[in-house]
Amino acid sequence: MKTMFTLNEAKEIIAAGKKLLVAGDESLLTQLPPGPWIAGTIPYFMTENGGLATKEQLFINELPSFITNFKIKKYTPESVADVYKDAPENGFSVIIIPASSPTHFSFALNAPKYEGFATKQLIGWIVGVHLDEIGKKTPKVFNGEENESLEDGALVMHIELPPDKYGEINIVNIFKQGNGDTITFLEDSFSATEAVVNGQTVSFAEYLTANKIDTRLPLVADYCGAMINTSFQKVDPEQKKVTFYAPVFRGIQYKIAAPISDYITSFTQQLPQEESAQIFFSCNCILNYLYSELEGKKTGGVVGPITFGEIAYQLLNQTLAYISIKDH
Amino acid sequence: MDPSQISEQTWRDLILAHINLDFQFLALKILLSRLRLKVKLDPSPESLGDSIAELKNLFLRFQNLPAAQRDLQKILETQRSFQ
Repeated sequence: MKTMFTLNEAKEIIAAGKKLLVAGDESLLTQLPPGPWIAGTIPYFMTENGGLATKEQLFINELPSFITNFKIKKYTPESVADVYKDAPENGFSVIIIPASSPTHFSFALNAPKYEGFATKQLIGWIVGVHLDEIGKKTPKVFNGEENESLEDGALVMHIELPPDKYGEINIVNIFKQGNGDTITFLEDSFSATEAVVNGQTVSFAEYLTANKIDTRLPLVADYCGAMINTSFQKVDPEQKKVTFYAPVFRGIQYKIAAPISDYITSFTQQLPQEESAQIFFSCNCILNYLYSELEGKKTGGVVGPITFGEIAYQLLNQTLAYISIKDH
Repeated sequence: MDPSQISEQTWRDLILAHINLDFQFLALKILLSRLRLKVKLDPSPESLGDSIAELKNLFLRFQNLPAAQRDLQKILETQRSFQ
């Protein structure tokens, strides 16, 4: 199915009254006409033809005609705590949040404490910018119904399904915990100066440097069998500070991921092939795109935006998240 | 399959990690991990009770999903093996 469209093609789809999830460069999103759509900025994609960086095309997910209802809702860093309460009983919700915004940090740190956490189907992504434009342009989300863009806030499309269908969220994470040290942290935070390594409190920046840790490999926590990553953003030896793309949480045990020799092979081996036709939406991490050199490489028929963070109930890193729509 | 077939003791054992199973349903894996962490950091009876209620709520909401049904079946089989 075609998912990449020119601006004019996207305008025609919106004019036809389709309900859409859109991803693309800001220069295109600002030209879209009003309509029942939400969008996030990003110029990187997994496409039918492989990984692609482009500011000339938009990625579009069209909501299936069988959905029974949908609603676009805007949230602040505070009100995003209601996202699970507001989600439909049978259906799913797609959330988009600008990277490095107060809402991004609020959701990342607090989602597990939200009322109804993980008891409704919530998937989504953190929107970004071209890597050459970090610090020059801000990531934005667009609300087609209100004809507005936001640098902070979350936009959520709550989508109801008929009783004979259901949504199922899953992830593909090629990383596993390595056999190294067990690492815990003293507080929930996007940064750490200290960590507890095998029971001993150490300077985490010094530990990473002294042990020559490859910080392209994420920290991995075992959530009852689900491997959940936290990726390294920066190690600052002078400030003795390590920053992450998602929070580390007090009490959770992490290990540095085992090395991966071939991303594409590992990825395609893990992707459930029988599900690919049922996948409605998926997204993959910019770090996977970069470190695994995904440009031009096909990702097993799975397509979607490349993100600055993935959401499957909570914020994830270096993971492919997807939702399938299935029949009962 | 009915989550009410699970005993209070089994719910407690799940939260306290006395029962560890190979679950399939992602929402269950994530929520159960979070609830176990919550009770580890705050082992009060209130915290445990709230966590059990949250876990029950997950199964009630998702009891028609095949992955949740399969995991519920695993819990029931484990419960039976202890009886």
